[in-house]
Amino acid sequence: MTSSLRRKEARVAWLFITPYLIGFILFHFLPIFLSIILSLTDMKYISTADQTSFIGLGNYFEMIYDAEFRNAFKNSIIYSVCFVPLVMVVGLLLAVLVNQKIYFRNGIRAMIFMPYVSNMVAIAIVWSLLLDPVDGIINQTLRALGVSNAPMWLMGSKTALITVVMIAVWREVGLQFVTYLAALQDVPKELKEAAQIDGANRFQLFRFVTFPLLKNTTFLLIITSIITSLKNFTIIQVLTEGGPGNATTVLPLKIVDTAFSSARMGYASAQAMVMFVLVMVITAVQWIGKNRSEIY
Amino acid sequence: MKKVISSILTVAVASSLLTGCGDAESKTKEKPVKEETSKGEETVHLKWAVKASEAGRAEFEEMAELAEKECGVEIEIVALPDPEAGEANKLLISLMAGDEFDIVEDAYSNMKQFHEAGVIEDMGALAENVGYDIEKIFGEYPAKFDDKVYGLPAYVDKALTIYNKDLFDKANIPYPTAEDWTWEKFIEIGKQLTDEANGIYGAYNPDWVHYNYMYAMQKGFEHYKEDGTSNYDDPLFKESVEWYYGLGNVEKIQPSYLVQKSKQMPVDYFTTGKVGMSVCGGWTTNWLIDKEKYPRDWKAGVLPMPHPEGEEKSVSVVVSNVWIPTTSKNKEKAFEVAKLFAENQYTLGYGRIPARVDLTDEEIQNYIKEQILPTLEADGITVEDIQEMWFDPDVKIFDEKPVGDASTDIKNIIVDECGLYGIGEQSLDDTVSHIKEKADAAIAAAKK
Repeated sequence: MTSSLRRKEARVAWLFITPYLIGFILFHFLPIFLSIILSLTDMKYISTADQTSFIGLGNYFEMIYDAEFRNAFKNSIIYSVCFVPLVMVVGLLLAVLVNQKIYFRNGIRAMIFMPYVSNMVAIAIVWSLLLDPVDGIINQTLRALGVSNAPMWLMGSKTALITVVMIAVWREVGLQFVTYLAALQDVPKELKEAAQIDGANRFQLFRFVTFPLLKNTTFLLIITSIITSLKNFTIIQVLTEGGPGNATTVLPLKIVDTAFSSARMGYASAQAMVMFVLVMVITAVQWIGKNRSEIY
Repeated sequence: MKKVISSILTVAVASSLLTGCGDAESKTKEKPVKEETSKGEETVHLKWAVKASEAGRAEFEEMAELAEKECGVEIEIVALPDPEAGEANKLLISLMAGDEFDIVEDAYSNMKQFHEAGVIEDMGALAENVGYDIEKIFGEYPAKFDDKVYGLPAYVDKALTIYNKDLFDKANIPYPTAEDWTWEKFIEIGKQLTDEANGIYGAYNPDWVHYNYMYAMQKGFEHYKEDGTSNYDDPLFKESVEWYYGLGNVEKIQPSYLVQKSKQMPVDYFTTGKVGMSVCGGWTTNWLIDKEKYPRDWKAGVLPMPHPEGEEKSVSVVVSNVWIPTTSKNKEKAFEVAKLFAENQYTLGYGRIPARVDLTDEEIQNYIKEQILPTLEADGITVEDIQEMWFDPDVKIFDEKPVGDASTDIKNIIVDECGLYGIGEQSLDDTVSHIKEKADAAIAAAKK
């Protein structure tokens, strides 16, 4: 390729990526950059920015002693630690099951995927009715079965977070399921047949042949699941609004509350930076782990 | 250094926000800023920001027409999304970004954040320029921060008791009277009216924040101590929390807090006809007036807000103020309109209680007979009922919501912590001690 042709191709390439770059700089890079600066100030309102002082790492030190922030951070971690393995395992199990020749397979696929494309507010209303601790259908059934102290579900401070996680898994598992199903159908039949000829049973076939071939898919889904688990503002806002008490207040809710209820933009930006770094670190660890292990 | 950082921040943040904000959503067509009148004078165009949920109100349209007629201005009503809890307030962001508005009307407690953000115009100088004596007309009602007037009160919403006469008749209970109307009597009657098997509750006072401290306020409770810290370790507050949740959990005259929350019972549950009495803001008379939205075949009665036995009569109030944003380019004209609204909104026939202290007894009587009575007399409500409910000069008034350092945070803290007590997940002592601790921390953070 001649250098003029190469330059021409480069120009065309820039032409194609420029709109994206402009969008990225305006709506991603610039806000992140501003957040970093704001996180080092005590800014409250933009209109009173002339009263803003540079306070260095003051906001970051405050977080260490802020019980409310620590609670939100802890809830975010619990949420992610419960959500990610659950959604991955359930998604994989469903995909393996539906990948078999079973009756009404297409209908089951649609049913599993349906919550993923359903309206979040509608989901919240339906689950709130089902889980009504007073006379919801689930607790009525439990009482009929002899459970005297039925759970409070979304209304209980000890049960609310895990209940939200279960609803989130039910909603999000469609994506994991569909992706795993596509990956399972890509596993070469010859490999399975060879393993079967060598005497592998069904578990060994899955453990040593199928699962390793799902590695790239699993990596992608883990990353997206972790990110999804930290972007949980909507589901918690519509289901519990962070309550009861602060039982389901997670980082995104805390950040919004700090910024708009407490009007502490600087402190909210610092909290957002902590969340940003958390996502980056988890993703980096995953990335390094994946690169160090064998790729199929 | 500080100035440089401030300038950079202002420009950078404002420019980035502007990309997201743009012009405020307007439900009316864009109009030129100034137009020529037939006499060749310029007609000043004023933008009035209202909540989207209230934008279609005939009352606002009439107010705009009144201003156009009396002040020679052109009013554009601009609807902005309603600010929900935990969400950014669109009007606040618009004003901080420099969007031009001239008139806003909102409750005093909601103005606090706007004042802190420096987007409300001090009305002192504007009033002085035209020789307008605010105190003479509105007394202590105008919105004040740091002893300066920032809003003219258009009306005052006073809490009341509404009751379902049909349920009283069925239970053979005589209608209560305004004389010495106490919470003790309220509870006693509530017990007699309650028939849970048939879904009838004697009372329904929804889970709004002010119910948690209302009883304490009637006994003289204040949200802040003199040293600026919170006052939630006052035994009156503890008693009030216990009392409010006791209405559902102990006295059982209304749905328990757990039932209210799990069923997401609406504030207008009284209108179902299954509730004997409800103590709520004066705006709830709209439930009785609006037969299209709330059709009913039963009659209702009204009483003042009950008070604790042995205490003087008292009522919680919300004062709605007309204020001028600092972004207004026509502040003098806007002040003229604000005056007009504050002095006359109550005359338009929407059941508003004037926040004017200069009205004579005769003017008040005429107002009751001509403006309020026609909408309520079908229920057998009399001039005397209305007078006792809203115009008793001996009733002590107190603000429905706290206004002070971190008051928005404090309201959220009370809702969160008291909610845990309400569903039986936290002891009363832990509840008040958590509220005190968190409120003090919020106040300290706000003062930084």
